[in-house]
Amino acid sequence: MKYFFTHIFKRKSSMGDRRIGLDQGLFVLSLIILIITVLLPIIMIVLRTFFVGTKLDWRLFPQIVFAPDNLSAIINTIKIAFFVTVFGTLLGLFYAWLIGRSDIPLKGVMKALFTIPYMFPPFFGAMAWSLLLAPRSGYLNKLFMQITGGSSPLLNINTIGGIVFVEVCYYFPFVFLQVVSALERMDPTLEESARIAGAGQWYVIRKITLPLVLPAIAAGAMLILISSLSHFGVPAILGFSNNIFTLPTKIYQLINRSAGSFQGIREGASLSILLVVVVVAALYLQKLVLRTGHYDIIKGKSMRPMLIKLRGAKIPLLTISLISLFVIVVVPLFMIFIVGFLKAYGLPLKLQNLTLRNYKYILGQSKMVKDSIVNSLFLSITSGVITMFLGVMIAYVVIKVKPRGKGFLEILSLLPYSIPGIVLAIGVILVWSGAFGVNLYNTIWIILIAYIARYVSFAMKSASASLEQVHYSLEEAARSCGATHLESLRDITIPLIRPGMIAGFFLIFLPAMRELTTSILLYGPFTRTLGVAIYAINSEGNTVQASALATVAIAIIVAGNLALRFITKDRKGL
Amino acid sequence: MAIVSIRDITVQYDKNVIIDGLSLDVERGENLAIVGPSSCGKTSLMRALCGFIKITQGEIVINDKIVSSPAKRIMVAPENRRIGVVFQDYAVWPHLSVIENIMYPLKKRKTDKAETKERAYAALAQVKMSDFSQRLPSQLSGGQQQRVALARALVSSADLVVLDEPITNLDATLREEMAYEIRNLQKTMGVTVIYITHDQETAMTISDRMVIMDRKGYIRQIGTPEEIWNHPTDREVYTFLGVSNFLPFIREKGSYRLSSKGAPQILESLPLDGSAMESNHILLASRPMDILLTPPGGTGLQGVVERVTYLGNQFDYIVDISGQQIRVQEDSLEAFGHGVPKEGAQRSIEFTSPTFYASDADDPHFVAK
Repeated sequence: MKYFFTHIFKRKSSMGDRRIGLDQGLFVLSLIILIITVLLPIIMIVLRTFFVGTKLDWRLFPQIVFAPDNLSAIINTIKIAFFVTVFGTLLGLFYAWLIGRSDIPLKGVMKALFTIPYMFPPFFGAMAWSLLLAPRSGYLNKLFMQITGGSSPLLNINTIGGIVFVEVCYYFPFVFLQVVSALERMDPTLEESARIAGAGQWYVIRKITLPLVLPAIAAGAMLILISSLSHFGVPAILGFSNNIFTLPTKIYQLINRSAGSFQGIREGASLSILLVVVVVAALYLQKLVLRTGHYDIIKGKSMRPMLIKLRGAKIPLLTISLISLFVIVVVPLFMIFIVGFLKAYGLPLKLQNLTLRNYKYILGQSKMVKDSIVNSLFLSITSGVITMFLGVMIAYVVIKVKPRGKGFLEILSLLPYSIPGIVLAIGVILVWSGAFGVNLYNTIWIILIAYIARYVSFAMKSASASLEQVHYSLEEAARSCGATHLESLRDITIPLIRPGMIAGFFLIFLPAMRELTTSILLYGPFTRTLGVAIYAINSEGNTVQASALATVAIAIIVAGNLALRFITKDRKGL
Repeated sequence: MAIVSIRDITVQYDKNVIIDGLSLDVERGENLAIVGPSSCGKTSLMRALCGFIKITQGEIVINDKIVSSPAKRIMVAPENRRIGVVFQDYAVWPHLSVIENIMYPLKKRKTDKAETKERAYAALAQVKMSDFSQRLPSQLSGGQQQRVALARALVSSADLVVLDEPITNLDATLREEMAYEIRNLQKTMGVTVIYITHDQETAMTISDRMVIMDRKGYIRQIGTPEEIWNHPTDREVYTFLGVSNFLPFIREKGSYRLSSKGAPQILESLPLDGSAMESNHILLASRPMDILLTPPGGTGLQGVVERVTYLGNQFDYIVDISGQQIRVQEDSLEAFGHGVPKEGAQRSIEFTSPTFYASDADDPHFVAK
């Protein structure tokens, strides 16, 4: 490592580099932080899987992978991810086309509704749908059994199909948003000239529009695939009771059951490697897909595209869209909200059964809940601030300083993107529970480190986007006016990217506030987070309290989103 | 006395040599234009001078102080070089108002408050932007931002100002006006200006001295605009200055034969000088405006007018001389006076101020026998 650094600087000083001193300091600092927070956990997982002490041991890995339990988890993971991707993509495409290219009314309302699933953790959805479709106690199933007089439920949400359904509801916006923005950027004359040349409507969609938005579809579909592969919350809530496991939930179960024993962590680490391999394979697949069809459709001018007249299909399509949006977005939120006021779960949804007792309990009496809210606020704000500055620093080094080794830095900072949260959590445990003389296990700091590693990619991407708007001559102009390098950063660069930094903070704060996947492996008796608390209360069967707490979380998240929207709206153009 | 002395400097990125052994002195109070085609290293030269990039060899001296010298391990930071810079994209800070932009260099140099204000407003008045002091840059046009950048540079250094392609982004009328104003400011304030551009026309109107660089980063010629226009040292400089014609001649038995595919044409004598006198392969260079078309006959070259284009204030002809084509331009009034030649008409060709360059048989202008 020492050789690596001296090597960089020797090479650097022999060429005409632009800056010296401060820049190299920032580069080394970024590199060290990323190596410790991101690279080290991954290395530790690999070491733990393939080495016993210092001895290489290949046998354990296949042994664990081919254990029948684990094998079925692998198959479930792939099965769920596949169906979620297919249905999510189709649903996203349908809405994207409807809003981007048809004359359907109420586009604004629908677009606003589509961003809502983005804001809430999918496991809230899983909780809500359990309230409706749990085989015996779900309100819809009970209603159905009352009507039919039988004892077989209408639908059972505790199945692979149920998991797929809830995940689709939360992940289809990935495709929807990608495709809508591609359609908006697309030059409508491309379609119009095909129409003028005599092509029919359907032909234009098939031969012109679809190929042009294919990269956007592929990008969105891959996001769905990767998110679903590494997703923990929904299969945990819906699958455990029916013994349906996916790789992330299996890893959690292994670690949880073994209470941190060597063997348990080792098995978890092996499955983690497998999960990473699957995710990386998916990413590679995306690269292949994107390479085969690359078209440049970005035309700066926003022109009004030709809208397809739906005519007679307008009312039926509108009805279908509104109903499905209602089911996907409004129903689960309403259920969580209303159940939070119920005296006991299972009581009919009538006014006399409602109470404020649950709120009184969770907000006033339960120390665990109070702790979890304080912990989550502390973790979200701290990790938001730290990670945002870290992201700015890394982006600055990558974009402005451009040292040798910037590629390595960039890869390191974007790596957490493709590392599932549960895997990262295991790596963090392996690094910070005494292996290097520091034991943070069961403290809040180990969660903070995991959050920083998890969200550094977000921060880096958001900071890069703002920094790229700041042309290097702005900083050089300050230098030539007598400002030192540090002053030019303070006076010019930082103020110019400040709106981007604030937005970046919220992009970390909001998901951190509802984080479940990494916290669930890292929390200790006094370091539960909001997500963990809701999950735990729900698992203990205290459904009404869990719903009340989820409502509180939703309120915090909505407030944060409003703040973010307010800030990004009056952002000054550069 | 030279205010800037650049001594045998080399600039390279990795192994890519941009500037290789360049030397140049800038005299105090002069307006020096550095002209060259794009990516010839002129911006790298400016960035090395300002301290934004390191040089790998040689040294740069400003006001008798070494500011860059790898051999002596000297690299003075940009903020300590006291050069006012106007960047190609203006680099007016978008989050600061016009007056804040201009006050910034004074604040950084610890000027007291009253003086800062006074000097900033004075500079703003000089560039005729007093009415815009509280505006944000996004509320200004390109030309106005340009003026703010200029005022900021003048406030930053009343001694030495570097302008990097400052007015190429403006439209033609604004460009002329700005060029004139820059020249005016420079003369009244006595500031030394280094003006970097790829546009040789503006450079001619604005500068006392021009430095012509070539694509490889070497200096081809230094001189006043008149010297350079009238005596370009070589063909590349000649071509760079504007539309040009080259006619190849071969010296044979004391006379000069036009190298061409068509009917042989021979000139008895050419007013050669310099190296062209020793060479057997000679290129005659002439600008389109320096060629006269006279009635056919006589001892000059004979050609056929192939195309006539009316451009309003002038006529543009393409004339074929035994297969070699040249471009000729003529003032409209004159053309109407003696009659505009028809396409296909025969004409005799006269060169009013030709320049001659030694060449060789490999030159693409020469037609193989």
